[in-house]
Parts: sequence; C-alpha cells; structure tokens
Amino acid sequence: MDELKYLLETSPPPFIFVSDPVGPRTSAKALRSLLSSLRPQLHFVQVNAIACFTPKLFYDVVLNGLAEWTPDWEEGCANWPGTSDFARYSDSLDGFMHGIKAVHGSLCQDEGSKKLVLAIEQSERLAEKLPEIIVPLTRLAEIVQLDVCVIFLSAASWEDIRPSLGAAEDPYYIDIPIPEKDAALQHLLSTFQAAQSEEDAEANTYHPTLAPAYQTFSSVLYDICAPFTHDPEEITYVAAACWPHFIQPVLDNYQRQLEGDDTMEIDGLSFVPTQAVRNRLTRYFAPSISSALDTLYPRSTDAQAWVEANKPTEEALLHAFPDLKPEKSRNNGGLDPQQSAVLPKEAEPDSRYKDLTRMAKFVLIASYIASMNPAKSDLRMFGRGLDEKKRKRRRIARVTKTKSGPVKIPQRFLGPAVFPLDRMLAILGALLEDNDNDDDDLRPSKMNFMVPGEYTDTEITRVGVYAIIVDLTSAQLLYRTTNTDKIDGPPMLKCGVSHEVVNALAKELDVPFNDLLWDFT
Amino acid sequence: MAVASADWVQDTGDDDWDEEFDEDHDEVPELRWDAYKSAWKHCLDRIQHIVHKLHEPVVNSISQQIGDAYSQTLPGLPHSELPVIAVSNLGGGSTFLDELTRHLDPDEDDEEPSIYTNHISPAQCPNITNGMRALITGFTKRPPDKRKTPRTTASSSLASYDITILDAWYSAVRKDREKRDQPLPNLVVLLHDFERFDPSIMQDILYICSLHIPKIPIVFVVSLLSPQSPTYLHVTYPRSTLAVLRIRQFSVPSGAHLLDEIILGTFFSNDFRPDIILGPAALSFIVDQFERYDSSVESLIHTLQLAYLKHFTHEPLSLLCYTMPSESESFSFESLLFTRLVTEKDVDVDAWTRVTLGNKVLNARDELYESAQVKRVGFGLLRLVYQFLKILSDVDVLVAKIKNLKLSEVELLLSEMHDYFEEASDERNAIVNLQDMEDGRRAKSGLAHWFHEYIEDTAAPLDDLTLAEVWYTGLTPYPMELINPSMRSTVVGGLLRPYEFASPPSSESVWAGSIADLPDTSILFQRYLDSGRMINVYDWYESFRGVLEMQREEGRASPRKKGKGKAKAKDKKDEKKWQLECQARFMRALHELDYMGFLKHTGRKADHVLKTVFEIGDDE
Repeated sequence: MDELKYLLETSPPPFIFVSDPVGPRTSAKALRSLLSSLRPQLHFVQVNAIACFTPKLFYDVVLNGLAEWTPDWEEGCANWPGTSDFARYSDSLDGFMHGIKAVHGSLCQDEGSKKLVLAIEQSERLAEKLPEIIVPLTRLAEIVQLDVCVIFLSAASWEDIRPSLGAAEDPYYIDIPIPEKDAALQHLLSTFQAAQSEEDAEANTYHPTLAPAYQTFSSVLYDICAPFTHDPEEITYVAAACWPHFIQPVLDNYQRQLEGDDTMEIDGLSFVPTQAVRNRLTRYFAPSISSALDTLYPRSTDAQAWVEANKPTEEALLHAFPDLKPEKSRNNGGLDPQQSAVLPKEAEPDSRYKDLTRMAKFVLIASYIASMNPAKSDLRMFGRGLDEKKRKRRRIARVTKTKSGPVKIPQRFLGPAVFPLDRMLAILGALLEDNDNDDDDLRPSKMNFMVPGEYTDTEITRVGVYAIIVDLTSAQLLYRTTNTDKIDGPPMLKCGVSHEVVNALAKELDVPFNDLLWDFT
Repeated sequence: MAVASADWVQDTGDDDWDEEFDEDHDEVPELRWDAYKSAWKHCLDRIQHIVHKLHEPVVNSISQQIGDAYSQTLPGLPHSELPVIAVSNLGGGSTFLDELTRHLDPDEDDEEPSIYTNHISPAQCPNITNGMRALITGFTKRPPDKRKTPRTTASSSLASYDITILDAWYSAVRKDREKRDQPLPNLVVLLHDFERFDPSIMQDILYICSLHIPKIPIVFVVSLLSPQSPTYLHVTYPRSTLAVLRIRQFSVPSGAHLLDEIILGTFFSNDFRPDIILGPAALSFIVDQFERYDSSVESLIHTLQLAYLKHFTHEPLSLLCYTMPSESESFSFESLLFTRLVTEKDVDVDAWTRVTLGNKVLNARDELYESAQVKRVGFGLLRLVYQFLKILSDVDVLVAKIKNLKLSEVELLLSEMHDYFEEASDERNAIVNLQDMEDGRRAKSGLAHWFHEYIEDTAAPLDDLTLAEVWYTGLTPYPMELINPSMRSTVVGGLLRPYEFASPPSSESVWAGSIADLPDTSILFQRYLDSGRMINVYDWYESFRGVLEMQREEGRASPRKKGKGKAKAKDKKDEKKWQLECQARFMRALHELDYMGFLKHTGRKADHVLKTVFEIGDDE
C-alpha cells in the first residue's frame, strides 16, 4: 500500500493491478481510505465489478462518481448532466470516453489540473460480466489522452483475467503480502477504536480503558485463527463475536463492586483487569474462541446468533475473579473449560422431515433406492411371482472370484445415480404394495378395489404423487437432471437426501429399508 | 308418493302449477348456490381465524426481527450484514407470507408505512438485470413522501436496474421523515419459493444489496420449502455470500398439529357451530388427503370447500340449510320435501300448509344442531379422558381403566370433567354430585358407569334424525377423483366411455351403442385393447377402417338412393377421397394415442408398435 501511495502521489502508471488473494475486502477498504486521503490532488471513483453488471451501469457509476454527482429522486434520477449537449455518455464505450473527457474538463475548470483514478474492486468478475471493456480500460489513459490511472483490485491474478490476443496492456503489478501478526493486531485494534465511538454507555464492552485487555485478547485470538485464515475481515468477525463474552466477567465484576460499595469512586480505571485476570480469562475462553471459529468461519451461524447462543455462565466470572467466592473457586469449582465452552446446538438432522406427507416420504425412499440400486437388480428385489405372497429371498451368494478389469466402486461412494421417473414410480408401487396396503386399513379411497395390486396401481398414478414429486424437486430433495421443456421420454431424477435421512424415514414408515438396498454392507 | 303430492296440490288450490314448476327449475339451483356461499363463508371465516391464531406468534417474532434488523446489531463487526429471515414453510403456499405482509404493511396505498414491502417471485428473476429491476421498482413505485410530486424524467437518467435509484428514492424518504421526526422505514423484500431462484443470480443480487446497507435498510424474507437444517441457504450458497448475510430461521407451524387445530377447532369445538356438519366419510378422506398428499393450509381449505360444494350440488334439499324458499317459488321442491317429511303416523296430512312444513324443517334443524352440539361436547369429554389416561382406545377399555384409577386420580379427573362441562356450559350433565360421594370405590364405578352411559348416549348417529341430510353429509363419499384423480384410469376411462365422461354426472344413462358411434381415438383404442403385445400398424388400420365403413353406411343409408347415371365415375373419385380421409383420421387418432403415451416405437419389427397398457381394471 505504501508503494501504491508513493506512486499515486507522484506519477502513477496508467494501469495498476493489485492482487490480494487473502483479504480483498480489507484491501479495498484500505485503498478507499488511501484515495480519499489524497483527495485534493486527485479525483477517484471506486466501483465494484459485481454491482456493475451491465456496461451502462458501469459507465453511470464511474461518471457520476468522478463528477461527485448524486442522482436525486425529485429530478428523476438524472445522471451527471455533462458540459456539452452531448449528454448520452453511458450509451456506448465511445460515449463513455467522451464522458471521461468532459468530467476531466469540468473538474479542471473548477480546480485546475487533476489526476483521475478509477479503481475497480473484484475485477475478476469483469472478465465474466463485461469482457468487452477490459481492453479499453487498460488503455484508458492512452485513449482519452489524459492523466488517468486505472487500478484493478482482485483476489485472482492478472493472468486469469487478461483477455487473449494480448490487446490489453500489461499492468504494473502490486502484490499484497499475507498480513503479519503485528499488522493484523493493528487492524483489530483499529476496529476496537472504531467501535468505541459507536457506543456511549458508561461500562460498555468497547470502553477505551479495556484496550490493553483487548490487546491480550486479540493476540490470543490471532494465534488461534492464524492456522486457518489470514483474512483480517474474518478474524475481526470472530473477534466481534468473542470479545463481549471475554470481557463480560470483568464488566460483571465492576458492576458488583458498584453495587457493593456505593461510595466508591466511579472511575473508568477501576475496572481495568489486571494481568492475572487477563491470563485467567484467556485460559478460560481459549476453547470457546476456537469453537467460535469452527462455526463462524463457515458461517453455520452468524456472530450475533453465536453471541446469544453462548452466553458465558456465572462460572466464567468465578474463574476470572476467584477471590469473589473463595470457598467455591479452585478446589470445588471443577472447572472444565471444554464443558463451559458451549457448542451451538445442532438441530437434529431429520426432525424436520417429520412434517412431510406420508406419500412424500415414500417417494423419497423409492428415489433413494432407485438412485442407489442398479436398475438390473429391481426385478430381483421387488419382483414376485403370481401366486406367492412374499418376495423371494433375493440376494444370491456373492460372487467371490474377482474379475479382471477395474474394480467396481460401490454406488454409495459414487453418490446418487440418475434414474427415470418410471422406474421410481414402479419401485414406489412395490413399496406401497408391501408396506402401505394393510387389509384392515379402511380408508374410504380404497374400498372398491378387488384385484390385488389394483389399489397400488391406481395410487401411484394419482395426480397427487406427481405434484409431490414436483414439490420435492423444488425443495431440492430430488434433483431433476433433464430439462423441463423436454417432453420426449421420461424425466430423469436424482435423489437429494442422505442415507441417514432415508433410513429414519423408513424406520418411521416401517419399511425394511436395509433389505432393499443392493450392496448395503 | 304421487298420491300424497297430488293431495297437497289440491289443498293449496294452485291452479297454474305447471308454470310454477318451470320457474322452480331456474330458482332452486340459485338458492342452493346462495346457501352454499353463506355456509362456506361461515366455515371459512372460522378456519382463517384459527390459521391466523396459529401464525400469529411467528408473524410477531418475525416482524420484531425486521424492526430490530438495523437497530440492534453487534458492535465491532467488520462490515454490516444483510439481514435475511428464512421462513421454512413446509406446506408451501403463500398464506403465511400474505399474512406477514398484512401485518407489516397493511395497505398498499398507505403513503407513510412503517415498513415497505416488495414481493418477488422466481419468474421475475430470470437474470440479474430483471431481478434488480423488480427489486427496485417494487419499492419506487410508491412515492417516497406524502406529496404526490410527479417524477420528472431526465433526458439521460439511471438505468432502471441501478440500485442507485433506490438510494435516491430512499434518501427522499429519509429527508421527508426526518423533517417530521418520524422513524425511518425498513425495506422488506419477500422472496417466494426461494429454492426456485437461480443461486448464481441471487448471490450477486444479495451482494449488491449488501454494498448499500445500512444506507438502505433492506431486509430479505425468504420462503423455503425444504426442511433442511442448516437451511437451504447454508447448503447452496457459497461462503462469500453467506459472509455478508445474517440469517435467522423461523418455521411456520405445519403438519399434524395444524390439521388438528383446524379440524378440531372448526368441526369439534364447543364454541363454534358449523352450518354443515361433515360426516365421517368426508372427514376421514380430508384427513387422509392432508397426511398423504398435501399438507398445506391452502389444500386443506380447498378440500373442505369441495366437500361443502359437493353437499350443496348433490343434495337437492340442501337449500333448506337456512330458510324455506318463499311462497311463490319452488313447487316441485315443496312436494319433494313433503314426501320426505310425511310419515305413517301423521294423520292430519291434509291439513298441512307450507307454514307447517317450514316449522317442521326448523324443528328438524334445531333438533339436529342440538344433537350435534351434544356430540361435540361428548367428543370433547372423550378427548379429555384420552388425555388424562394417555391412551387411545375403545370406550370399554377406558371404562376399565377408570375403574382401576387411584382415588386421588379419580378426584383429579372429576374436577377436570367438572371444569370442562362448566366451560362448555352444559348443565344437563350434572356429574358434579358424584364428587360428593365419599366412598372411593363407589365413586369410581359410578363414574365409570356414568361415562359409559354418557358416551353410549351421545354416540348415536345423526343420520337417523329427520331431514339430517340437509345439514349433515353422513356417509356420502368424498369426491376424491375430482381433487386427486388417478391419471391412467381417468384417461383410459375417458377413452372407453367418451360420452359418459363429457356429460354431467347427473345423467346416468349407460351408453350401450355400438363401437361405430365412438370418436376415432376411442375406436382405435378399443382395437388396441384387443390386440397382443405388439400391434401391426397395417392390421390396425384395416380394422379401424372397417369401423369407419360401418359409420359411413349408417350415415348415408337414406340419402344414397337416388342418382344412377353418372354415379360410377363420381363414386370412384369419392372412394379415393374416402380412402384418404380414413388414412388421415387414422393417423390423427394414432398420434393422439402416441402423445398420451400408449405406444412405444421399436425398431425390432417393421410396421409394429409396442403396447404400453395391457389389462384394464374395469372391463365392460
């Protein structure tokens, strides 16, 4: 960043490529503050390539940004009006070039000669959304003949973005290194200071006097997080979730002192935790920090929910201030940090499947079987003779001799296979015949069937079954692999639920599920 | 029957009854329709009331979340997060989101709502441009402030999908609100059927919105169909998207609980009297449909509505549900009613007037409602005992269980029963005095005996009452084939009996004509059923043409007598034309069957097709 600053202050090359694979968001912020600090000498606009998904959007944002023009609702959200009659700057690339010149002209008129800087965040997305404007952008200074600097900021490298044919100019490369511990701590501290201004309560968690404690905390936090991520954003995120807990015992203690002794001088300094307290807190909370990282880094839950779900207990307070209740502390407390670091409660995986309709459960089981069993096995699994009531014992003795050629990988390692709808319906029919066809079931809809199997046959062709399949597909419990507008041939589907879920459903419906799988071991 | 009605006609002294009879035919269905409408409205209001009650806590907590979305955030976060509220609504349907909208933003035309809402469906979002446009115009179509200032259009303005527009609009809202010290509104985007949105598009839209918060306080509410936990969002969207979101999960009550609440609350509640009482056949079908096929509130309401509709269309007397038709109407109807009401015991039949009839109907209604109410109370008591004993079984078992209770438990049960009857304000069952019994053993057997008697008494079927079919659907089956037909049997049935299929169900004439009277496709299908596993197309055509010849013979039997001279040459020409027509009709019918999936083409044998449907369940 220093290098960039130096360049921008002097005479920047027309095209700079900043690559930061670790924390592009942080460097975008840093770049913005850097550019703002250089404000009087240059005009800049920083755009996000994701937000500008059409050329017009891109041109509008850039021109309005450079001209520091805010569209107003009352005036019909007009763009920067420009200087001449030629006002349609955002219709084409050519118009855009004129627009840049016009903006520059008007800025120069007001305040003398200016540099223009155009910074593009997430520029790897440009290659995908607006590949046609990359080349002109890299040569912008050349085309408009002005002092313009274009900065691409990206997590990817220029090689991945560069258009083929070599028409684009090669950039001046700046690589942002992985931040060192000191830099990361500095960054954390700056967030701490920023948060101070947000709150004004007397004993809040971001009180300036707590800064030393925060330093200890952040160093511990960094050591825990560093093996997994270096992104300062992520570390800050975890810190924001853990800090309130970390400091809570100190605040509680302070509160108690206030209550205990009214005459005491209410002084900010009185609740600064000592080194010993800090060490105890660290020891107590280290496991909870790593568990926070575990859940927060993949965003299984968000910071606020984590804070609410993992409120520190009284134990933490006692642990930090053993002298509060000396008789209960060290020897009797039995403090197990593993225990106290409450892990977020995982919802039961299949409790929510209970509310599916009965037929939907059968459909899921049938589709799992169709996905996992080879089609050739169906007849042996479900076929039955005319007169016998029970299925034949299906599985013949395993063929033990190994054939030459590639080893067959069991289906459950390959994931679900695609099956046609007809096959699944047939399996569904077999399942219903065996498991949903009690003779004492006096449902009104099945009274008038005489021929064996007729009821099931009607049942699987009902509109409701098809509706359920569509519903399950839209809920992503089944995947449809063929296009919806193809009417020729049966639709192909794939099962989208796991073995555990299906097993639980089968247990609920009393289906001998494991017997129905071909190579279940 | 004929005698009785004739007598009555003479009594009323109506001379021109023929005319009236004709008028009746027009009036009666309309009256039934009116009766249906008010009966269904009464029931629907109750259901909606129950559903509203069920949804209320969730709606309240969600709107609480939305209100706090931007005021209660965790300090020290590196960036503000876009609040997303994931509502998993297993039953599907939009009832819940509609209710939520009503709660949040009750009036579309309100110029100063505390929350602006915007509904987006997957169809509006085929790509990011359209998605953003829908998102923005959904809000900006309403004026930002009270003044209805028309938006001036500039020569070069922002693209309609540019979020900067929303920015400008919101700053207009903010300026207006701040001037008057009003709280700032949040913007709520409700995404229906979220699974159907393309993740790669939504991902960008969410990201773009996240760049503009908290300047524009947007809150997303997504409706999820899948029961996954963690949510579909966690599973499908990449970490980079999740990192800008703050997801909260809620789930709408669904499943068996919902069914219980609605059915029990509507048809078995002590404080609600439905105008039409559903019989066991209809109820058990509705429950079965809900559990097996579709567990959304909407479908439950629809099945109930269909039950009502069927009752009023199939039961001619059902127009008596509320009132007697007025004097000048419905003569034939009255005669029908008369024959239903008159019994052998009635000796003074001749003296009956329509007022007597009306009174009799009213009496019958009161009697039925009364007895239904007694049953509802009795059913409630049965449920209470079930809950108390924690078993579900026959009354006999319950009685035996009561006998085996401990004394303290009996007292508890008694007091519960007492409270229950008090609440149901049913004084006739003064079981209170049982409490006075000091002797425990006698109290137990007394209670058990009383319970047995009571249930026996209340369990008499409603069908036996006079005119019960007007208000009670009894054992008439539910029209399942209307709501959940079996496709194959319906199609096959339609092909086999095309005329019956198209005519209204009331005319139950059994078609007994020859095959030649059928439409082409049906003829071809009949022949299809006669054949073996594979069909030779040429043979098929030949037999089809045979039938067509029969048709032709019948058709021209009379007019073909005259004309002899030049007929030969004309006949030849005609014959050729006829050949072509046969072929064309054959091809059309064949393609129709093919389209419906009855044929499978195979390369194995020339000129042959494979059958896909073999035995038909109900052969005629």
